[in-house]
This record gives sequence, structure tokens and C-alpha cells, in this order.
Amino acid sequence: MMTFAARRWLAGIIGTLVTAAIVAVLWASSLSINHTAHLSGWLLLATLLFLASYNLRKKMPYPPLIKSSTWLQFHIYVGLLSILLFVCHTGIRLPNGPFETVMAALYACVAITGIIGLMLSRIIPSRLAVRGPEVLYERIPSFRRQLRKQAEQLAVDSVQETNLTTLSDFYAKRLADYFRGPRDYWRHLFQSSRPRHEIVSSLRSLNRYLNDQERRIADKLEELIENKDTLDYHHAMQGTLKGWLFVHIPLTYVLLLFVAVHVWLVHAFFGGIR
Amino acid sequence: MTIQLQQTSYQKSEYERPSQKWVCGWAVRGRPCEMGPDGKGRCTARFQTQCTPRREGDRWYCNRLETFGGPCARGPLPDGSCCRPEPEHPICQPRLSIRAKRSRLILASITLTFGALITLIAGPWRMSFISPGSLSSSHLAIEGESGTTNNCAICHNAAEATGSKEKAAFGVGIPGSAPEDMLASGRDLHESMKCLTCHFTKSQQTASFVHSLPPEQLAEISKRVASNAESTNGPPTAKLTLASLLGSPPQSERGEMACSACHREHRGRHHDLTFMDDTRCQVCHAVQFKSFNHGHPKFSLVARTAGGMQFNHGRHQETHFGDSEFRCTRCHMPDNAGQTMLLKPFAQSCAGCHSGGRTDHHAEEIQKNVLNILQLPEMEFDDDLYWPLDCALGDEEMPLMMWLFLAGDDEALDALSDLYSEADGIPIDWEPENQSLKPQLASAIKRLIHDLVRKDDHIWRTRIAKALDTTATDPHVAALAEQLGAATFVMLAYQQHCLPLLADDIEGKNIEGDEEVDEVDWTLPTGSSGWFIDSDYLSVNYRPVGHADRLLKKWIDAIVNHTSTMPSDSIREQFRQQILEQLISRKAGGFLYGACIRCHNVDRIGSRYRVNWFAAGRERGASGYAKFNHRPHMAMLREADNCQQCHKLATTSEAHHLPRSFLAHDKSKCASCHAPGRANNSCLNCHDYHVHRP
Repeated sequence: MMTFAARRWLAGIIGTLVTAAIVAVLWASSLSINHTAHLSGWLLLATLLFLASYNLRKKMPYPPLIKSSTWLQFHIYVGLLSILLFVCHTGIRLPNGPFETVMAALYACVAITGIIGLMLSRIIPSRLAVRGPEVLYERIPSFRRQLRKQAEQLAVDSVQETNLTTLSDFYAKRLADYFRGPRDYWRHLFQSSRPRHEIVSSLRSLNRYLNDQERRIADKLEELIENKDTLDYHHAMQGTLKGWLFVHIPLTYVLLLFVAVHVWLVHAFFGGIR
Repeated sequence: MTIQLQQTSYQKSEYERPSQKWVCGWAVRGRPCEMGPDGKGRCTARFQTQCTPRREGDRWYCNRLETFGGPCARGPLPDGSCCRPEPEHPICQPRLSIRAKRSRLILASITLTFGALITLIAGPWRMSFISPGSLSSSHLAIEGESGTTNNCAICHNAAEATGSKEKAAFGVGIPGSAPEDMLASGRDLHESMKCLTCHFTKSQQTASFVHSLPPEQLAEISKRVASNAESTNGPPTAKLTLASLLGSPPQSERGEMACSACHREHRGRHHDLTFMDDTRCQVCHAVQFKSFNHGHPKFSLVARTAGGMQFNHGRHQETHFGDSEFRCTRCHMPDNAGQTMLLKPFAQSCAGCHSGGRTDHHAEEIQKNVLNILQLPEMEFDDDLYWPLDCALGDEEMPLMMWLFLAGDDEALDALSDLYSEADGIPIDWEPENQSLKPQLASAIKRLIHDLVRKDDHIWRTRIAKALDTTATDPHVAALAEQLGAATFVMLAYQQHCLPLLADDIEGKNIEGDEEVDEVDWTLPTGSSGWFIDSDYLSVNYRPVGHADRLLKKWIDAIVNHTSTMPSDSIREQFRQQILEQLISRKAGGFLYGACIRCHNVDRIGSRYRVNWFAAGRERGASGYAKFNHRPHMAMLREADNCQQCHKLATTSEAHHLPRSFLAHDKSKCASCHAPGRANNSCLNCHDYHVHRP
């Protein structure tokens, strides 16, 4: 079993060699009077089809076409290679026709969202690992409901046990809405702990008005708040991990449509001898 | 997280189905049912809490699954129905899973994009939409105003469906324009031919070939260049070697290459369509080298067959002028751009000396040459045939031009074929077995005379066209026929003198008795120029009127341009080859050699001949593709007329090997300035790709 570092080195070396070979071939071809754009175009099309096929692979559990994680590694390296091919194909110049401009913009969006996705998939899991146990995204609403019910029960208990409404009023004013759904998506995304501090501080500010029994309940509420904050953090992070694909994948298919038309146009309007 | 939310027991842990299309509508509120919706998005809550009781004997038993709480205590009703008429779990409105939402978004994106593309491509703005960018400024007229006009059809076949109006505006598709000609000649109409609609060239028919040359001619040049390559060229650069390995030229099997291979459009207004770097030039070439300064072959001498008139500068200098008088500007002058040194007209350059005396072969002296056009061969017949024996003084020969005209008579061709002996040349081959052909030859000659006396341009054209194996609309045919018009008067006189009853004979009327040959009252004096009848030999002759005589020039053009250098089975082609050989050959004492060809030599180029009416020009330069602009180099001359700094004359001993007596240019003289960091040393600075600039 290779270590992660060894795999990274191996992939890096192979990727560099393949990239160097392709660049050398394109460069040598560009020195002659051949249309290098044809060669780079077909290579780019092949890489785009390969990249798009990853989504199909994920939808097909059978037959077992290599592990999905291996596919993903290839997807990443081939995706980076496609950026190089795109630069070679367009000749480091901005297209000035409407159709090609849109197509180039689409490719840029797909590439950028791909890079963003790569960064997210590298950053978010490690951050999630230090914030509580692993939580399935689909189960977050259920867990949130559990926390809400526990918080509600604590609020009821505080009234029943102490005949005081300080905590139940606080719950009704601040915590009911807090436990109802996901909160502070963007703050969690940018690693802000202010939402938790704000609400915990509010709860702690009640301490001077609480008796011992209420303080014990308030401590339990604070624990629930921290758990809810962790759930919100998971919701924001995992939602982002799933959400970027809502941009990346549809744009990929739109790009493929443009590419199909582009290939047709290029061959229909090719000024050469058939 | 400090609270254990996740239940890992197999009975308590929820079973997630993220890959399924529908999820429970209550999942958002954190209490999804265990079964979830069915595949069609319908809530299955009713079936989760109710059972379908099982009957054993006369009793009904609850069979609710353990997952949903197991058999209920009450059991089924006596009628066998479930005791729970209403579902315990409220019915939900199932929602799409995340993956299903993404799939729908993908489908919607594809559908919208497809629709948008169809709308834009099918709409009136399609050409503007699909245009890959603006054209270069030199093609701005084609692009026109942006909008709905389909100017793309001017250059692209694929856009032709609706662009006929725009095509017509630019001459595309007009009968007679280049592409139509190509189509008519059986060649594919590819888009490069559309370029030639505007970019007419002298070599229109071969414009699409590499270097605008027929492949066999280019192969011949490549072979010659490769065989002459110097070993001192040195190896080409690694870059060039790599490019040669990977980049074969994009040419068709027929050796054609699209204009777009080099001239790439839609790169913006300021794109230089003619730019080509040195590596791209060399990648196809047989001899490769690093640069002009490193490895470029030395300049070679211009071969005698490379074009241009014959003129021995060295002999003229030594014999007639001397160093001080032999100034270049006596005969040469720069063109308006100062780029090319032109030869002054004959009257200013040559006529000064060649207007009289022994060396006069252009002015009065040329008039001493007489071209025999028509003379009846001496023939006797067994039968009674209408034939002027008194006029037939031509022994067993016929003039060359008469052979040519007779070759235009289909009826006479078989007889001429038998009478022509390739070994002996043009003289009539009167072998015993050919004696029976005399009446046929006589008839053919009479038909020729009958045609020539009729002032009918169509008849002349038809006969000449057949003799040249071309069409009556060929410009050479038309030009030669036009010259025959001036001979009608003389031909008529000749016919009335020798064959007065020719018309009746041609019509098949019976002609009795020998007609008296009248005296020729109006034969022209033999010393005058133009058409005349020689009363001594009773022949129709032509005396050139001087330099650039029109009949001689048209005749030379006609026969040179319609004669192949290759062996042929066609009897007409063989006639033309023999006639041309006898006319232009110095050894055979050809009439035209002394009159014209001595200076205006005839070159063999592949399978064709070419006559050099003019001095060597740019396109007929050393390699065929070299160019040189004299103007910027004039400043380098230390004296006003010191052309010999570059154009060095050879010594007498070596001059006869050299064309026009000049030594090859010294490359080092050019390379002293044209070097990296100094003057431009790229290929295109001194060479053109096109043998004729479009």
C-alpha cells in the first residue's frame, strides 16, 4: 500500500511527463504549417468527454469500472491538463466571436468551479473532522429535531420545576427560532464562531437571575446550543460540498453542447481541401 | 458534539437512500418515515402502519412488520381488515433528493441551451452568432456591415444556402470565374478556389498547388535542389528537426494545399495574413538549415532555362563597348517603385546598334528573312485531276505552316499521317506505297486554299484549333486567325492565278481541259514586307515587317503553347513537335531561330514549352521565388552606377557557361548586413511563396 505522499509524488511525476509530452507535440506541430488547433481541439474534446464521464461512472454502480476515488484522481489531473490544452487551443488570446466567447466563458466557469470544488474537497473534510463526529448530511434535519425537542423539554421542565419563566421566556424569544432550522450558513462557511458566542453569551448573561436549579438547566441548554452549532457547521460545510456540483455539472453539459456545435461548425467551415 | 445523536443499532439507525429519486417530505422536519416514498414520488405512510391480515383457519392474524412495531395487540377486525383505519404517520408530500434535483437542473440546462442554440443558429443572426471573429482589415469589404447579411457564403461553401445574392455581388458563381472553371475541369470546388475569385493570378489553374506549381514540376525542382545541396549547410536546428518529424504539410493527394493553411483569417483586424516564420517555411523543404546566416545555400547561377531573354553581357562589353562605355543604365532603368530594374524598350536599348548593318537582325535585316507559307508540291496523277502543274513547283516538300494548316483538316489527317515520316521529318515521304495518296493530298491542299481565300474567321479558327488540338475560343487561335485576315488578298490572287476553277472543283463540278495559267499581274515586289506571291517559285510568302512582327509572334505563341515536350501518339502533336523543332532549332537552321529565338529563347518547363519574350523578371528569378528590392540598396553604392558591386560579370573564358555572363551573387555580401540584430534575415524578406503573386 503506497502512502499518500508516495501516491502524490507518483501522480505528480506521471502528470508532469504526460503534460510535457503533450506540450512538446503541440509545440512541434505549431512550428509547421499544420493547424495545431485541430490536434489540440481533438485532445481537448477527448479530455472533456473523459471528465464528463466521471458523473456517469458515479451513477453506474455496476460494472465496477475502477474505484470512484481513483476516477476522481484521474478527473482532477485530466481536468488540470484540459486547462493547459484549452490555453494551447485558443492560443492565449480572447475569442472575439459571440459563439466562441460564450463557449470560452463556459469552459472558464467549468474549470473555475472545478478548481473551487477541488479546494473545497481538500479543505472541508479536514475541518469537519475536528468539529464533532461524522454526521450524514441527510440526517441533519432529524438530529436537529432531536436537539429542538430536548431544548423544548428543558424549557418546559424549568417552568415545572422552578415555577419561574426566565429560561422558558429566553427559549421562546431566542432559542425556539435558533433550533427550528439551520442558521448562519455563510458565517460557518468562513469559520466564524460568532453565532455560537452571541447566543451562548446571551444565555450566560441570564445567570445572575437564575437559581441553582435553573442554572443546571441552563448548562444543559448551552450544551444543546453547542451541539446545534456543530450541526449547523456540518450543514453549511457539507451543503457547500454538495452545492458546488449544482454549478459544475450542469455547466459541463452545457459546455459539451457548445463543443458539439463548435466541432460541427469547424468542420463545415474548414477552409481546407477535403 | 457532546450528545450522541447518531444511533448505530441496526434497528434504530435510519436507512438513508440518497441515491433514490424521492425522499420523505417530513425529512426536512427531521422525522422521515422509515419506508420513504415509492419510486413514483408517492407517500407510502398508509402502508407503513396498516397491515394486510393473514387468515389461518377461521382467525385473522396481524402481519405488521417488526420495523413498524410488529403485530398490534388488537389484531385484525373480524372481517379481516386492519384495525388501524387511519395511518398513524401523516401522509407527506415527497420531495426530490439532492441528486434528483441536480439531475433536473442538468436536464433543464441542456434543454434551455439546446433551444437557445437552435434559435440562434436557425435565426437570421446565425452568421453573426457563429462567426469566430472579425476578419483582417484587408478583407473588411467581405465582412461588410454586421447584421443579418450572409457574407460568409462569399468564402465558405457551408454558408451558401442563403448567400447567393452576396456571392453574386463578389463574383462567386459567375460563369467564367475561377471556381466555375475549376469545377468545369473536373476538380473539386473547395473553399480555396473562392479565394481566387478575387485573387486572380497568372497561374490560376495551378494556384492551389504547393508554390503554385504542378506537383511534377515541384518534385523536379525539389530533386534538383536536394541533389545540389551543399554538405556545408550543417544540421538544422533541433526545433526544425522536431517540426519536420511531426508536421507533414497539409496537402491533398494531388499536391494541393488550402490557402488557409498559411493565411489564417478571423484573427482580428490587425492580424497579419502573410506572416510566416522561418521554421514553417523550411519544414517542407528538402534542404534545411538554421538560418540565412548559418547554412543557407550559396546563391546559384540562373540556369539558361530558368527564363528571360538570352543576352551575353560579357561579349557585348568586350566586343562592342569596353569597360567605360558599358553602363548598366544604358539598357536598364528602375521601375516606378525602384524595386526592380527593368529592361528599356527595344527602341531605347537595342535598336541603337541593331538597326542596320551586319548585326541587324531586328530591323531591316529581319526583313531579309522570308517565311514560306504556301507552295504546291510537285505531283503527277494517273487520273484526270484538277491540279495546276505549272504552279506546283515545290518538289516533294511543303512549307511548315502549310503542314500545320493541313493538320486542321480531319479528312486529310489519315493521308498526312501516312505521308509523314518521323525519321525524315516534315518532307513528304513519297514511298511507292504512298503514291496512291497523292489525290487525297491534292484535295486537302485545294480545300486549304479554298478556306484561306474565304474571309471567314470561323473557318480559319476551326482549322487552326483542330491543328493545335484546342478550342476555337483559345486566344492563341483567335490571334493567329486574325493575322490570316491580312493574307486574304494575296491568297485570292494566288488562287485566281493557280486554281481559278477551285470553287467549281470543290463543289464537285466537272472541269474539262487544262486551264491556262494567267500571268500574275499583281504580285507584290519581293523586297516589300508582309504577304506577297513569289512569281519565281509561285509560292505565298510572308516577310516580317520588323522587330516584334505580329504574325511571327502569334504563330510562335500558338505553336509553343500547344506543343508538348513529351512523346505523343497523336499525329497532330507529332506534327507540331516536328514543326517547332525545325523552326526554332539552331542546328536545323530554323527560320525562327535567326529571326526571334536567338534572343527570345524557348524554354522547356516540364511537359510544356515557354518562349521568353521579355527579360528575366522577379518571378523568373534565380529560384523562381526570390525577390529583391533595389531601392533600399541603392544607398550602398559608392558611385551612381556601380551595379557591378553585386552584379559581377564573368571573364571571357567562363562567360560562355554563364547565363547573361554574370557570376553568381556573393551571399556573404548580403549576410554582412542581413544578420540577427541587424537587417531582416527571414525567409520572406527575400522569397515569395507564390510564383505569381495573387
